[in-house]
Amino acid sequence: MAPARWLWLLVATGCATGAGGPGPESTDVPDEVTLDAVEFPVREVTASGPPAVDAPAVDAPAVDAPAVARGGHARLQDPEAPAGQQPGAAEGGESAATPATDPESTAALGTTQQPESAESWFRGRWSTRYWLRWTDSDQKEQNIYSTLSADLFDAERDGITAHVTGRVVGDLDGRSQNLPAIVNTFDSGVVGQLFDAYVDFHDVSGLGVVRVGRQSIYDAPVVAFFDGVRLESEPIGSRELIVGAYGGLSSRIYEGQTTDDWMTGAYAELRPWSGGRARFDYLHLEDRTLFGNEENDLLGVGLWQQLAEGLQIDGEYTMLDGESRDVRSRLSYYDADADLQLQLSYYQLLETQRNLSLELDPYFAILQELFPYYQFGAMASTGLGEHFQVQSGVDIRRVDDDDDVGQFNRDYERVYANLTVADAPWDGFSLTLLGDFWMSGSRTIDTLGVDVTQEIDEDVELAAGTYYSLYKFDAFAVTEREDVRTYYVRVTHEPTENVDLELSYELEDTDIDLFHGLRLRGVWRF
Amino acid sequence: MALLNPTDPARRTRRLPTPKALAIGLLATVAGCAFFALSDADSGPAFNHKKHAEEGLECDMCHDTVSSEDAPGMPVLDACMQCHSGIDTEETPPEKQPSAFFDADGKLVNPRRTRLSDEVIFSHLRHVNAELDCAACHGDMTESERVDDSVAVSMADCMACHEQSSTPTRQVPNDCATCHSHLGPNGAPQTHDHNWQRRHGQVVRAHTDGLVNQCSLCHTEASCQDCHRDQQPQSHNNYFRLRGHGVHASVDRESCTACHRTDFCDRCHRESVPLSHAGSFGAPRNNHCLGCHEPLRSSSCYTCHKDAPSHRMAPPKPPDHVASMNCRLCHGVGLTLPHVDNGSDCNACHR
Repeated sequence: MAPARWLWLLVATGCATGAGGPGPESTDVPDEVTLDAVEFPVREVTASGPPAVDAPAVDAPAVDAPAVARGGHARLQDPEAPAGQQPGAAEGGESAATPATDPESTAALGTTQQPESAESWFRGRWSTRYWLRWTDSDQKEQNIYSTLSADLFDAERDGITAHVTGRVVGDLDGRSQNLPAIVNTFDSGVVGQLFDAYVDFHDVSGLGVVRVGRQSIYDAPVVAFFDGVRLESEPIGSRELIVGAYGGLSSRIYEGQTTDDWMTGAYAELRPWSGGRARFDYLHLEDRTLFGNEENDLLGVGLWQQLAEGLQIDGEYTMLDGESRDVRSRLSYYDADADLQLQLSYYQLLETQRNLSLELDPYFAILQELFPYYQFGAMASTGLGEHFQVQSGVDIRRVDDDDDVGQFNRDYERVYANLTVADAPWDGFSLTLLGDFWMSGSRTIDTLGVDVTQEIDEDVELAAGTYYSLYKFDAFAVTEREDVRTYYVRVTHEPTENVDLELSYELEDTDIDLFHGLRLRGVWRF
Repeated sequence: MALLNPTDPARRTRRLPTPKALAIGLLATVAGCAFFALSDADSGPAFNHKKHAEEGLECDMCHDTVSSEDAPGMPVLDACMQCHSGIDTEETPPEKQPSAFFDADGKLVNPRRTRLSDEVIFSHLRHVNAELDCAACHGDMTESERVDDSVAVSMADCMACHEQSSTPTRQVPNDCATCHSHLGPNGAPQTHDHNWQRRHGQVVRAHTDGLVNQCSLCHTEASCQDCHRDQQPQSHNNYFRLRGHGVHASVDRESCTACHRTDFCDRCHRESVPLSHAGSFGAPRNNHCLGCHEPLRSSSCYTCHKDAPSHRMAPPKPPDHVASMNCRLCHGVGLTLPHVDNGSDCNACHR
């Protein structure tokens, strides 16, 4: 696509983004969005109460009107009054979902107790997926995946809760190797994988988190996935300081052998000033890799600052084994009411990454070193009225040193955009157009797609679509050009509130073969 | 080879605008957003609450249903004319006459700053009955010379007030159903429309502290994992598994790390034979040499063949062969080669 067209796409997105937002007749979001500053201005109010009206007096507690501030409240006085004398209490309270229309209503901002949690002691989600694939060259593959995620007990009521997520994968063809799938690489045709299995203790003095078992920590600079213990304090002081530590055996689901790899880490998080948040991480990893034993120490510092409502800047810096590793920064603006999101991002890898512990490894065994690079990104997403939503973005990566550019270290530019039309031209209909273009010298990947969905009735949805991908890449000094066309149709049905069923068929026409795929999936939420 | 020559001017031809032009485009994007967002802030005729308050008018004199109904009771033209019919003259500017604020059907033309979504439940009556002053939520309108966004009340304000008004003996409900008729375990926020499945990741990464769309209100950490383990990206089709993922990874391996660690990739590569390893790829013709180059380890062959003898261990030249000789005068013409001549310098391996 010519450079001018890209520039036009960006500017058009900008104009469309700016012109978007709900129309005056929109019922989805308020007409005007209040772009409040984080620090709400305190208003000194001299009003002495509500205007006099000819309404019967109600037994509502007086309100401390002068202490009102925007972002503040009018406190209900008389907190010591027995519950039985409170309006609404005698009648068992009033449903919060039922607006009061009777001036004699006993409800005054809802004086009823919160209903006791009705959550079951055992709840979760069970999904099972059957997947059949076959080709015109008589290759066939059948696999089944069954995933259970469950929570036990309730943190509000019980001192102990538990969570488990696991999956059983079965190769119904008996460990065949017809078509690639990770399940084919295991020794057994049936494989169990445990992703999470931990117990939380809630009533430990001074500690906000006490977790034992197989768990993941996503807030660390890299995801820590281990079998062990995590402890975290409750917020301390006005800065809400939180300190935590964790450690245990590193979880290795795909290594296929018992491991004594381990990790330990610690972190501290606080809110040093209004709208700000800071986090410090330390992680020690030990891993026995193909190329020898690795020990790595990772330090991370992260800062977040809310500049205004919806406007945030954040950044993170890490050091690995005493050397600067990477730095990341991002400026985000998000207005949910206007359905507008803007984001600018920057990332720079400062040091070459070679063989490292698994959590840090840049696929060294396959792709070799990851050389330093920097990357800019911009994204804009907005709703246009009730029915349209558009998103587009650009990513640009440059390897620091041209001499490092090679097979697996490349400069690239990526441009993507998608447009969604929902409930137009008639209710229940939606159309999505998407495009994703990667350009990296002699390698380009272009993808264009269309998805059409129609709600048949409240519980049934029919979708169909197609997407086309063009891969152009160099293979042994010859430029390959491979087309991939995929067509699919999908039906989803919700027979009950807690059950989802999905049946889909996919036809994939590639330069390698013609693939057919059938998926049947059921999800039960309990 | 030109393929791997990073400084080849030809490969520097960009299909995108220069960084400068791109920066201008991005600035135009941001400027467009800011311009339109800000320019709409003060549209329409300005209603001066301050002037009316100075005349002794109370809130409920114009908003007459606020103490008897759920709705705030926005004034109608007839109510305004009760006073203005005796006040306005022919010299009164049109923008200051009540008719400027109403359309032909008698409806307000000004955007409703405080208008809530239809699925939001809110009763002014209940709040008035709690003897909350209007200013508690809308600020001191007696000083307002123009209605602006400051009169609107955000979800954060509502929840803060509900929370701070609660006492141990009296809880002011603050759950979603208190104000939202649509939200629930099977009712997603309206922001979750419009291709949410595709774009929610960007919203999550925005990581704002705002309440709206705060994922933890409805979702647990496990929710994300459950869905992501069950649903693959659209790009992960059969071609992707066979060949496409290699092209993607060679361009941007970081995108793979969102879901996969190296043990996942190693496992599959240990077991799977690449599609290219067919025909004369191996012995005796060893066509794989066509893809080789120095240094060996930067070749994709190393992905699997980590233990293969280094090509630097090729048989050395006989003592009477010197580097300046033209090897191909004999080898490949009179003497057959055990491998394909890839055109490179024989001395690179046969030292």
